[in-house]
Amino acid sequence: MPRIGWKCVAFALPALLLALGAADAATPYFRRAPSDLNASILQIDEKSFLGRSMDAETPLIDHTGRTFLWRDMFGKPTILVLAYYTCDGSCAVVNMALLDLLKQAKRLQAGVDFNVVTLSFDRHDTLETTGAFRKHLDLTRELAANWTFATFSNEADLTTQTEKIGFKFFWSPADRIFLHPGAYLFFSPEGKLARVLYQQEIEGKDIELAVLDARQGQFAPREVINFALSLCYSYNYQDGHYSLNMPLLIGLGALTSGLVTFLVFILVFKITRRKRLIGA
Amino acid sequence: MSAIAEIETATVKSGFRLSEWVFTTDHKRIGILYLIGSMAAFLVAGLMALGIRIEQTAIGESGLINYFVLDFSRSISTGTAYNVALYFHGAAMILAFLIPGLTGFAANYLVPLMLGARDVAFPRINALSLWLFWAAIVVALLTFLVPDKPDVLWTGYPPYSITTPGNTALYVFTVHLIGFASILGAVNFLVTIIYMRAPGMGWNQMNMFVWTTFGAFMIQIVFVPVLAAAVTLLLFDKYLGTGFFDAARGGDPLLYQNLFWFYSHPAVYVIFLPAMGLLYEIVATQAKNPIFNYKAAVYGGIIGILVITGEVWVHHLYIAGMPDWLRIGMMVTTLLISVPVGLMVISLWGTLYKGAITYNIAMRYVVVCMFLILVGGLTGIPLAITSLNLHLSETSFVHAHFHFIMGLMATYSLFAAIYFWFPKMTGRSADDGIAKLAFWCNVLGTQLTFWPLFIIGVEGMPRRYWDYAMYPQFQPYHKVATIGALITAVGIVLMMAGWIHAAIRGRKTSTNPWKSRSLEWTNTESPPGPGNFPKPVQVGKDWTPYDYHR
Repeated sequence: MPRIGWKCVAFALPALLLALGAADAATPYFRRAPSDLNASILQIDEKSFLGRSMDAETPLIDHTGRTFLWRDMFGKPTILVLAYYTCDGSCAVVNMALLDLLKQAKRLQAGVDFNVVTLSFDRHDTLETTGAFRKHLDLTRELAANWTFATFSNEADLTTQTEKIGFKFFWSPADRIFLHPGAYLFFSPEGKLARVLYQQEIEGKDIELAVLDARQGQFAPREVINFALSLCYSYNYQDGHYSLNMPLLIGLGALTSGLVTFLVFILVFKITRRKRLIGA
Repeated sequence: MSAIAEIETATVKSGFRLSEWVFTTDHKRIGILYLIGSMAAFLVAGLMALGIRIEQTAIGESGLINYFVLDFSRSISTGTAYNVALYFHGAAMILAFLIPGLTGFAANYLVPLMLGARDVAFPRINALSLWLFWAAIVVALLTFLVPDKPDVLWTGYPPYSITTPGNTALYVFTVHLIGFASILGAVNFLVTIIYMRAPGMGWNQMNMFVWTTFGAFMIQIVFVPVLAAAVTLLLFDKYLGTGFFDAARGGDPLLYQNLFWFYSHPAVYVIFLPAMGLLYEIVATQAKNPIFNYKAAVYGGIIGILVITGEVWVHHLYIAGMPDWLRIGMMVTTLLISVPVGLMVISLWGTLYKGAITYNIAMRYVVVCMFLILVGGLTGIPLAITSLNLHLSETSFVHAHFHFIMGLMATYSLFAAIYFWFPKMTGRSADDGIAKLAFWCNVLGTQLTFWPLFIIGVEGMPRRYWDYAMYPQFQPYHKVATIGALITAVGIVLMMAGWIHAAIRGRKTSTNPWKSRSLEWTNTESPPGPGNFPKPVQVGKDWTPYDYHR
């Protein structure tokens, strides 16, 4: 081990103290102004807004420039992501996470079982910014065909329609970004808000279960498995994801317990009777 | 010493010894103890019904209902007292009176006798069932002594049952105890029916009551554990802080309703089937006819009900969220179950055809039951149809409907059975003037009570409202219903006094006063001694318990 001479220590210690002092002194100059971020805005008050809907006649413009109505999404559940396309922060993360989650979700297919829509609440978004954002996501061919990226056609709808479903956003001059919830909103086939999931807390199965949940019990007879799945899991508001519906499983277990008891009693009776006969 | 040998040595000695009754394993004594327990529950539950009716006689708060639930200081509100009374009335009538009365008393007393068996397969477990039942009665009666009286109705729906300051535990423990008693009773009787029939007795030679009991116990054994599981989870939610039925924590309150009705609709048939079985026995004997279309009634009726009964519960939840196909599917099954029920009813009516009918007091109750089945069955049809159910659900129409088909019909069939087998149990007849007077009071009183509820139900009178200030137009109907309840109360008191009087000083009867062909009348004395039959019973190939035409 090399020996460290006292001269080295004598030089190094003042240098270290100077560096620390300088860093501390310099910090206020490089520190950004305190953010005016209001954490509560990043949550949607589900209890107040479940069952609410945006106006069905709200005109929207998709990434190809086609105008369509929000009503056109009705008929099957819709996953809605409210974002803005010049966002350099969470919007891309939330959409890319949704892409990964949709890839994990094998049971249900976008376009067939549900719609996926990303909708901008930024009045500055154009066809170009929409297209660039979409391109950046690197969608699979299947999802590219069934994932709609859209903007509001009327500027007035930006706030009125989003407020109707409890989605709040505002511009933070300090952060130079829109502050908004990073949430996936699930709408029923009739356009009613049925579930809100947050990107950080969920897996692919939660997306599938939320889509089934958004069906609000309306399943065709051929969809028995989907119906059973929707019964077997229930949404846990506390944890923000779906968990097994234990009472149902316990009930099913109980259903067999009576019959098992009966069979045991038959066995006991037969054994006792045989012993009695042998004894006699 | 084997249980059967114990029964034989435990002979009925002269005089009354309490210990012989408390520790009895004799199915007949157990049956009578079930009858006493269930009639006690009936009296208290009936008193609650009277309180409910009195409270609803006029618009506004009378507060009289508080006295019925022993809240003399009026420490709880009238609404809560009403809920407590409604809880006890519903829970006790169904769980402590009708089910134990029909499957506890009637099955215990009659099934081994009808089968030609010396006792049930597991006499000690039979005694345990009885003790559990009595424990349930005691726990249920604590309702009136605790300060936090349970007020969860007989359904115990969350979230109310979890958030109420009322004592939900008493409800849960009562269900547990009755549930255990039912399961033990069910396994016992199923084994008895399968393995302990008299030599020579085939399945198609069994009494209809035995068949219906078999059906009822099959339902009990499959469905009771589900209810027991549901109320256990309810207990955990309320007292251990779990969230099985708390939507805020991933639970599902609607699932409780599904689990509850998954048992509780089949429970209607646990009551209906043995009640019908009793009616069959009385009709066949009093008309001196064999059962009309026996095999259709058994295999189409009883077995048909067993097959379909587990697929109809959703009609209690039509107004809850569910897929349309499920709603429509359950509407179809609900309507479909009227086919096996119809087969049984036709068979019952057909048994009267060209019969030499003797209208004793039991038979009079049977005739009333036939009318009640008709009204109850017909009013069930609109409730089964989803579009009509949406309007009638939670109105007093439903209340009147199930009181006709389940409450009154099953209760009267039990009354008929008590009168019919009274000579068998006591050696004396209870068919006297008091019985006739009580009969008319009961029949007229209950009709006066429930017909007005049909009418105001159609017009929108909600169920389970202690006051109805918003519906003043319904007050005259409520008044008539209360008058009916008071007349019924007089009838019940007269009837029970008549039974006690008849058991002590009634006219002595012959061993087989109705000239029945069933084994309990033909092969043993009245009342039967220990071991039931003086000689082992054996029946021939052509024997039937309804052999009246030879």
